[in-house]
Amino acid sequence: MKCTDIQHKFTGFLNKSLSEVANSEVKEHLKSCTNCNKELEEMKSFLAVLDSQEMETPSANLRDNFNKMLAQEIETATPKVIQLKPQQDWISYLKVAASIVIIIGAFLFGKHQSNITQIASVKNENQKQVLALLENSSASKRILGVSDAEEFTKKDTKIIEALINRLFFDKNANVRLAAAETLSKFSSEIIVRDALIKSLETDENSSVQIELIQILAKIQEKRAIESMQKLLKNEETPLYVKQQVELNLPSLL
Amino acid sequence: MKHLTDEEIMLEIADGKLDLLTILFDRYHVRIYNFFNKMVHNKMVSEDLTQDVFLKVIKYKASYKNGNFAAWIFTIARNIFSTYYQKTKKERTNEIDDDLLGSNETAVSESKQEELDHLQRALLKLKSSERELIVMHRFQEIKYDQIAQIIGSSENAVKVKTHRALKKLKEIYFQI
Repeated sequence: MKCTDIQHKFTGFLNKSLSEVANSEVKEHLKSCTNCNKELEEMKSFLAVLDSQEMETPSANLRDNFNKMLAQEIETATPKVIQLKPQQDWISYLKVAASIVIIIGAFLFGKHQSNITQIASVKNENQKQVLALLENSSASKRILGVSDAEEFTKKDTKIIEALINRLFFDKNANVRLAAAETLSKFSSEIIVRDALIKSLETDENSSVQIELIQILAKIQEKRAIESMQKLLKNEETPLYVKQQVELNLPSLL
Repeated sequence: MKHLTDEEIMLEIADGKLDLLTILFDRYHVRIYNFFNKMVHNKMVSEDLTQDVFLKVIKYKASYKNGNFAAWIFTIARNIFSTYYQKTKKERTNEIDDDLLGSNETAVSESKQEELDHLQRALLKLKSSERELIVMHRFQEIKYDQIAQIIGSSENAVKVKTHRALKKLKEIYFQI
């Protein structure tokens, strides 16, 4: 018997739930093995701590909320039935029918109205949230904002401007990288294209440069040829950035 | 009604007598609450999740088929925990990087309360699948064969896994 096999049986041994054979095997082994004795002692004291844990009592809120929930469920499960007295004369029917039509009409109209304002306000709310995220002091929150911005359309100029801002001025390269990626989805906008070219000329981080080179090639922006060639000539440009230019430049020529 | 078994009561509930759920609530809510509290270590969240369990019992009452009630309700609790865990996991990963919280580990404990806190910290260092085995087996005293039923595994596998988790927890406990 190996020590690990014996130690596997310790919890059962301490609970006295082992078979007689297994039990005497463990006992026999313990006579000669100091290591397992130590392990057994540790396990014993540890289980004592573990088993001294007491159940905690939840606050009274739990029961209150449960009672409320149950009452509600019982109510929806057994809807109250109210018998209407059958109406005899047709004028009253007509009156009722007319009032129902008016109420439903008014309701639908109101609903339609409120839907419109609701959609508009939800959109506004989202925009505000994303703009706030883009200005957050934490870089990971800003990245989150950048990726959320993808869901907007090119009409949301505020979002696009905020993204361009990130691309130019964010001190964290990962945020700039994410901004470039998201902006590439808005590449039909001329300001976006300008921004991407400009940042290829100015950004000094090589991974941002590589991303920009790929994007500009993908969106077939021929005005970027010049800045790419500049990168090639510049002695300080790292070799792998140059390779990226050489790879992508032909597709623009 | 009080003398009925959990299973008999649950069958009545499935049959439409929703108000009997109060009895099962009395019998189980402390256990379920403690299960969650050991898993997430947050009282408010644990209360909310416990409430969810009983809501789900009503919603899925038709799917109860006369099996062991404790195993059935813990299966629900476990699903609710896993949904909660997945949801918060996303939020947690968004917070890494620059918003790292300082670690607040303290030296080895002396008093009883400190000892319990220490254990809870060790417990939270386990994977949730390991933690749940220890919580169910040691704290809730659920038998191996029932745990096997709850997590959809064999009794032997549960024994081995619980033992490993226990050993790991012990090592963490004496280390930190």
